[in-house]
Amino acid sequence: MPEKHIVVHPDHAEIALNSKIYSKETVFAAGYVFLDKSYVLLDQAGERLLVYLYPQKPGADLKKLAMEFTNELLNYAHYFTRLKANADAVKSLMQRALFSSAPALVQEAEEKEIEDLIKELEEEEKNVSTAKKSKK
Amino acid sequence: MSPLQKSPRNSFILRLHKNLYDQKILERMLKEDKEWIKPLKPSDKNYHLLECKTTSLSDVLEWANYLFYLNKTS
Repeated sequence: MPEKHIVVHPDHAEIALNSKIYSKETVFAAGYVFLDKSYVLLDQAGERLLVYLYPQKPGADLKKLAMEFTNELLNYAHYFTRLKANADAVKSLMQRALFSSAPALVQEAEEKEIEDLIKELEEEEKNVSTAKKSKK
Repeated sequence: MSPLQKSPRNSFILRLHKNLYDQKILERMLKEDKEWIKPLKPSDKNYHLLECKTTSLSDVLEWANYLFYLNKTS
C-alpha cells in the first residue's frame, strides 16, 4: 500500500482505503484484531473508507501501527476472497463428511436424485409428444 | 479530519457514519450512557452526531471501541 494513504497525526494515524478493494466486512475484521492495542474509529467519504487508529499506550509508533493494520487488512481481504472462491468446494466437502457419518443420508439423496431425473425425463417426453401432435 | 473533535464546552463531539455503525446498536448504547452522551442534530443526514460530556479522551475512545466491538460481533 502506498504510504500516501497513511497520514500520521500527533495523536493518531489515519488510513484511507478504497472501499471497492477493502469491504466494510474486511475493515471490521482487521479492526477487531486491533481492539486490544488501539482505539479504532471509522468514517466514510465517497468511495473511501477512513480508519483512525488511536494508540492505547502513549508513545506508540503510529506509522508502525498503521502499517501493521494494513497487513491485517490484506490478510482478511485474502481470507474473504478465498472463502468466496472456495464456497462450492467447502459445501461439497461438508456434504461428503456428513454423508459418510450417516450412510442412510446417501441413499436418501440418491433416491431423490433418481426421482428428479425421472421427472425431468417425463417432462421432456411430454414436450416432445405435444410438439409432434401439433406438427400433425 | 478525525470524527472525534474536542469541543470548547469541556466535551468531545463524535461523528459516526450511518453506513458504518448500526443504528439499533448505537441507540442501545446511547440509552445506557445517556448521562454523559447526548445525540445532537447533525447538519449532514448521513451521520450521527454525539456530544460526549467528559474531559477524558480515553473515556470517549473506550466507548467508541466498545461500539466497534458490538458492530463487529452482533
